[in-house]
Amino acid sequence: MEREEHATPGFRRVDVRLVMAGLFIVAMAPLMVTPVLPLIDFYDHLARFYILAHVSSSPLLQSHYAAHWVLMPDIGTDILSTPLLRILPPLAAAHIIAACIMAILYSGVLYFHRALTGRHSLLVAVLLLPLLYSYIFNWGFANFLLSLGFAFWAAGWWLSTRHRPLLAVPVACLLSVLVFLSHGIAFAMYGIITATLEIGYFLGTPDRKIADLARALLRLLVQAVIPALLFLFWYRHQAPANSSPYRRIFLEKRSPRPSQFSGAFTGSAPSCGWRKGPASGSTRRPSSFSWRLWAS
Amino acid sequence: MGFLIRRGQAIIVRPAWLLIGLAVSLIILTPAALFGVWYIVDRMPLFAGLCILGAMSFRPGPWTAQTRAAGGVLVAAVIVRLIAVTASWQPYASDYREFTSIAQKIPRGSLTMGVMVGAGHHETEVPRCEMYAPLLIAQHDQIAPLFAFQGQHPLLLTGALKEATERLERAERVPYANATDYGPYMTAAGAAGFEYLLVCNAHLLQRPVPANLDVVAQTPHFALLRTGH
Repeated sequence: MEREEHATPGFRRVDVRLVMAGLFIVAMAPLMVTPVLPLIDFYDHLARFYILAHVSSSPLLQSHYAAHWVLMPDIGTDILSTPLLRILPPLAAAHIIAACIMAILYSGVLYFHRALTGRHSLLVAVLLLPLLYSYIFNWGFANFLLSLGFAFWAAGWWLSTRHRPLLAVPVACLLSVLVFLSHGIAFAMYGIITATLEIGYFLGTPDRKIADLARALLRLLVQAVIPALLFLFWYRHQAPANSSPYRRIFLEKRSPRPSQFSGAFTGSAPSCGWRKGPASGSTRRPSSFSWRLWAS
Repeated sequence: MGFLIRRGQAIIVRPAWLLIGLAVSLIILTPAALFGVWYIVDRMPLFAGLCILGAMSFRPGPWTAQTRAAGGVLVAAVIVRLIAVTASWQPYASDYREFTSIAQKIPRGSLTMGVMVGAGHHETEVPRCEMYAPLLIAQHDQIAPLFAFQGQHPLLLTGALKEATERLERAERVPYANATDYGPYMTAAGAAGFEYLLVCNAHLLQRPVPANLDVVAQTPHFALLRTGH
């Protein structure tokens, strides 16, 4: 393992990447044993992608569903997957979407790791594999996981290029928008990763000056400008979701509103409150962390 | 992993100490819901785990027999975990075949509602059911409610589906997890306008299907009910 850790030069590095890719392929074995993946919310999203892909050509769908495309912080998989559903059968598309989400997350973390530590590590790649089948993946939080993968890619990019701000900042701004449009919470996580690492680098600098830290954090702040404007636009014009009877049935009627901000900034999770039991009027919090499910 | 860190074979790179500390703290500090997004805290262990792996570095130099053994245990645990996931997912293949056989009995374009017995028991052995009602739309040309929340998803419910869903909202709550009687909900769904009910985990129903609903087809895990609407 140690020798693989130092597989830095030339062809050896390529070998490590190929092995990492091979590990990922092996880890896709669970997807091969069943035509339907037991992911709790995932197929609700898939059905939506299917409808969006076919509603314009199906009178039956048009009589019950209407596409309503707007900019909002939760449409990453809708944008990427709807075209796929035009050309692939739903079950095949589901497998491909799930594998792609895991691939983006896997490669994103490995890229981030390489950027942060300066090395490839096969052991890290191996240890990453079970996290692909996490509790959150079992819930089928597709947008969040896709966005989290993008967030690690963006953080890796930032770490790799932060010393060249003229290149780093514009690209990072685009990546930030991508992360935000995929899921707002993952965008916050991207902010946490990059900000804390900038502070970490600052604290590790012997002759540190506060102005350097301020400059670094300002460069991160710039990346949040467009997402913040998008959020404000969405919040003012599109946020309330109360017109959906489905939501009222399955979420609001059964769930105590967690705060006055409920419904203002929603990812894939709240949509599913009706199924995620504890959200349904119980006095417990919506979903306590379950080690049993984590291990399932 | 703790053993490897204690032996100095694995380290968290110093610039990431604050990140790891904060990520781990968020598991405790994060509220369950934030800005309307639920299950926030549930996402934090994954975030922390990914950050830890991303910041993990293995020290150059030879591995001792003990650290090699520890590394081997980690790799073995990963293999066991992947095998366990594969084994636990495999039974869904036969469930899907049951679902397909019963879904084909629904006339195209019917307003159909999924009834998931035991839904919410995801941490138990209760099989997951949430996949099947959406697949009625995507695979069998049926009409069913799904995640289509204005301001959250780029899709809206309209027409008879919207009306039926609204009527059901007014009439009955969704049975959840520990519910023992799904009859009132199924009856209300029929009265609201849904023509067929696809009951998943039908073998877990503790009470008979209401008399006003016809059992059109049944398999070991599914039942198809016609409401007479």
